[in-house]
Amino acid sequence: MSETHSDKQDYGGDPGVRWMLAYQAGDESAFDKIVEEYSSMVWSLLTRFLGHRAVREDLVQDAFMRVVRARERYEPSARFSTWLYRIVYNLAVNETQRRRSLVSLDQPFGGEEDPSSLGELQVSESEEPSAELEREDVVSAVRLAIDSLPENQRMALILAKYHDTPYAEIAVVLDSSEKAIKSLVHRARENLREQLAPFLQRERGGAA
Amino acid sequence: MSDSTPKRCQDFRELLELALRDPDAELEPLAWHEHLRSCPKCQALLEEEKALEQLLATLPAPELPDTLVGKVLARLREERPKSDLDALLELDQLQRPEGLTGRVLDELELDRALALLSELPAPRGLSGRVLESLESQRRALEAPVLRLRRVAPLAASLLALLGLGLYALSGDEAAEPPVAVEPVDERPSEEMLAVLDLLGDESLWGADPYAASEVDIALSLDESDELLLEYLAMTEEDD
Repeated sequence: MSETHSDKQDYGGDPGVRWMLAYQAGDESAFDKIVEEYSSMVWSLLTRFLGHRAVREDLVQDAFMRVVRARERYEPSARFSTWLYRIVYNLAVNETQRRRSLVSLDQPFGGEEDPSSLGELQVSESEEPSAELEREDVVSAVRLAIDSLPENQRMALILAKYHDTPYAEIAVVLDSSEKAIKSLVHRARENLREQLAPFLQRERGGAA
Repeated sequence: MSDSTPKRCQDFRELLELALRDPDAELEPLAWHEHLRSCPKCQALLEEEKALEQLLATLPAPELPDTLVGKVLARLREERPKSDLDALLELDQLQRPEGLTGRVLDELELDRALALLSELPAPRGLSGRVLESLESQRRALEAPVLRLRRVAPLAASLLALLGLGLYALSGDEAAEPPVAVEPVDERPSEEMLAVLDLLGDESLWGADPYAASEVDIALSLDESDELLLEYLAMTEEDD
């Protein structure tokens, strides 16, 4: 656990923390506010981590059920979003492992709506695909590349890149240190650069 | 970054890492860094990172389905453990059958409601706050009584001490406390009555005390009494 997130910090200014404490004190409407405010964040994180799977709705539900169950013992030791990210991360990893146990290990591990492997999405020099198709290919390739990252690298990269989460908070989510998160993100980017090399070359060529 | 990486490269890549970490930072200014003029590796790395940033930016932001929040809240309400209070509140929404059966069922529902009320634990949430509020109002109402109960014995003790103090300071006989006169229920003995009769206290024992007392005296007086009687007789004669 990161030492930079001291339990002594005051999170009273965090609306999520205020609502959670109000909910803990018996204000049921505060929980509705939490769901309304943070559903989008939970949905985004799950979608980026797991891909477009139908199970996401259930997982959003499960995440908030965990909030309900934590009502009595909740203590504001981090920003509310950080605490919720941690819940979502645990759920997402459980889902990944559950799915891994169902899918053969030698099959590509893509999203339900992304059945293609990265190998099928290699850039073709000879063909001249339409801009729309080209863009779809790039998006699919990026998704598959992110999906192929180890879970901790994937979550660290997604939180840093798409949720603007400071490394110190990612460290709380992953129960790690800030230094380890820096290393995780660095390795994640290395892996992505390697997997997306053809697309990167084209990108650089296009920019040049 | 390996240890064999030249110090200048390490410094540059540290700058690059900081720029990538900051969501508001841009990589473009780094292209003008002096180190890049002499380091094609770092230049290539910067270009790759810029391209990767562009690729990562192509992923559209996941859009929350419009109905998801409502679904989540509805399902959570269903799955949340229902309190007895909730069950009571739902009684109002029941469709009551009519006729005799309906009235019987109504009675059964009422019995169930009353049973629930008697077993209702301290509810959480709104009902809990209502009870807390009522409790605080009750305390506010009871507070003067409680204070009086606490103050009254103390005041009485102080007044008693003050009275004793004044009595001790006064020294006035008129202020002496009255001596209690204990009534004597016990009737004087026959001997004592005889003596009193002989003393002639008619006011106490009525008229003609001598008629019966002579027999009593003869029966009960001892020698000393006889001497007393003789003395009294002589005194009487003297009078």
